[in-house]
Amino acid sequence: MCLPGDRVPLDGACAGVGVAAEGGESFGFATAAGVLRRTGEVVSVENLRKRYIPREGDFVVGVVTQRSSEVYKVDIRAPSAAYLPTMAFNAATRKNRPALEVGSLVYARVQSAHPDLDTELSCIDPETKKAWTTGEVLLGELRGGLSFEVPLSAAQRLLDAECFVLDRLGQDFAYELCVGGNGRIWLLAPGARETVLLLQVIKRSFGMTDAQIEVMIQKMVEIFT
Amino acid sequence: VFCPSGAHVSPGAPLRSAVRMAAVPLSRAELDFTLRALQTEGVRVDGRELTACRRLGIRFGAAHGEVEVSFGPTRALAVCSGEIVAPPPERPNEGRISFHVEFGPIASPSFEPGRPSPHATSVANLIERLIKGSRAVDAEALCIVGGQQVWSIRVDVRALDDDGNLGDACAIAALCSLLHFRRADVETQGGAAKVHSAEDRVPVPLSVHHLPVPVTYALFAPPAAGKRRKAGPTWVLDPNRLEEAAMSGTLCLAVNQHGELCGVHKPGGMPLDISVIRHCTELAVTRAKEITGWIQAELTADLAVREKARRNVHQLFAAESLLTVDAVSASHAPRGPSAAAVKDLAPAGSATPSAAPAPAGSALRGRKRVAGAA
Repeated sequence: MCLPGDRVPLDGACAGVGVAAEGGESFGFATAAGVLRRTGEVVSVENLRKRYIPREGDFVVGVVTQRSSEVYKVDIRAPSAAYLPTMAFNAATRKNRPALEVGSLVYARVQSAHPDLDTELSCIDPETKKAWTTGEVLLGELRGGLSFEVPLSAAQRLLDAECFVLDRLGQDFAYELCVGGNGRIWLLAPGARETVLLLQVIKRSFGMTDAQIEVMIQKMVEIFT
Repeated sequence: VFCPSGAHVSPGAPLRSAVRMAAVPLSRAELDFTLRALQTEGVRVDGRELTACRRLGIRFGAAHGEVEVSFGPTRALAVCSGEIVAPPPERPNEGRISFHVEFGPIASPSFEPGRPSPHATSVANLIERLIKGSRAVDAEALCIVGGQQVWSIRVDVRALDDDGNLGDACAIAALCSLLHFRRADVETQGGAAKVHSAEDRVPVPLSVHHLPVPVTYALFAPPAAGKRRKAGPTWVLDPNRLEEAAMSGTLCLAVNQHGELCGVHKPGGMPLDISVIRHCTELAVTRAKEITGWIQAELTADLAVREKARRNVHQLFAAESLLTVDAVSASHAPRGPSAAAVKDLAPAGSATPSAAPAPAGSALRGRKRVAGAA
């Protein structure tokens, strides 16, 4: 556990969320209150904070709140709204671009995030050459399913390469999941009961050990079937 | 709250207006899913049964008349105070009871500070009709000297957290506050009244005849298509924030501890058959008896604690209420879901050995499709 101002030994790791590297390579200072966590080369602080501060390069799930001809205003659980240009989709032209409605979910990358300017998002994925019309680009509108919110640290845990909860759920259920770095998660599963089960498990798994998660999953499966 | 339950009747409109009006934007997907899951499979998003309520928590404060009521995450605080005033000439022998309800940004980003919103006013009206209209508190017992001095009791209710069903929480908080409140003992000698301080005479409770308790249902229209079976409306007890945003109407039934119906409040919304209302009333009677039983149990427990504290004047802290490093005693265990999660956060000691370095950003990491074995 640490409080803001505590010294955090870094031992060659870089400072992640909630840690400021001041003293060179050997130690840093915590800037947030919470539990220290070290994953390989990054030391960060985990807590129950929900408000997202936009950072360039993050992938976020947002809700469209307004649309104009040029830009969509998107809420990403940040202090201010973000803007997504209507043309910022792979191979989009004026005549051929997606029409997102108010209330739809979109998975986008934070293009620019200066604290004094409006945050800009983009759905252009430079790694693929496919057009948005094929529906195979990962960035873009998320249709159907259900969205819910978790603390930022929980979303970071779910984004790990090895996430016990998601792997364990994948053994028994088929589902599609999109985790936004801003704490909003989109989930798609075949039945309503299954979706609710997955949602409850993912929401409650933050802070639990692997064994506890295993027990919880078994109990949930009993309750829901 | 987000959905104007009276204004829109057409099926598509409530969802759109709910999305636009909420300061915390709800996605269409959430609202659609909530509605579909209820209509097709009878499943609620938080996994409750259709008639399952969240846990009711009642916590009394230090002074008499302070109470915080919670239905799961929804919380409301009520504070009761009294003063002696001159009565209006048209009602010289009755005291006055007034209710003030405040919804501020502390409860939800969609509440604005300043003037009470229409929702807050309707909740205040509901509480007033419930408690004053059903003569729960005896107003004539609040008279001290007829025509000159009466008690004016004021109950201030403040919403602390809105996760649906805020009206019920506020009403139960106001009721508990009136039950818990103690007014100064007043002695009338001839035409003069002498107010005794708390040290001279023990403060006296208000005379409450019965406990009317509201039970709120959220109503959902049956699915538009599907003429296979004659589907009635789906109703759920104790809606949460999502369900309130997706609902097409609300029904509030007030029942007291004797099983008597004290009030019905149905502000517009979708039409209901009388058989549905009868069925809901039966359920409300059972639920009201549970709630009133719980209120009375918590009240007696709190009074017992105060009695014990008054006897042990020289002992400031009871041994069992002291916090130690090893164990937190049950009575002071932190409440609420966020507190429980903080307790569970064990320091993740073992660092995962081969985790990837700082996210360079392939979108594949965030979005994945998992094929189950089943």
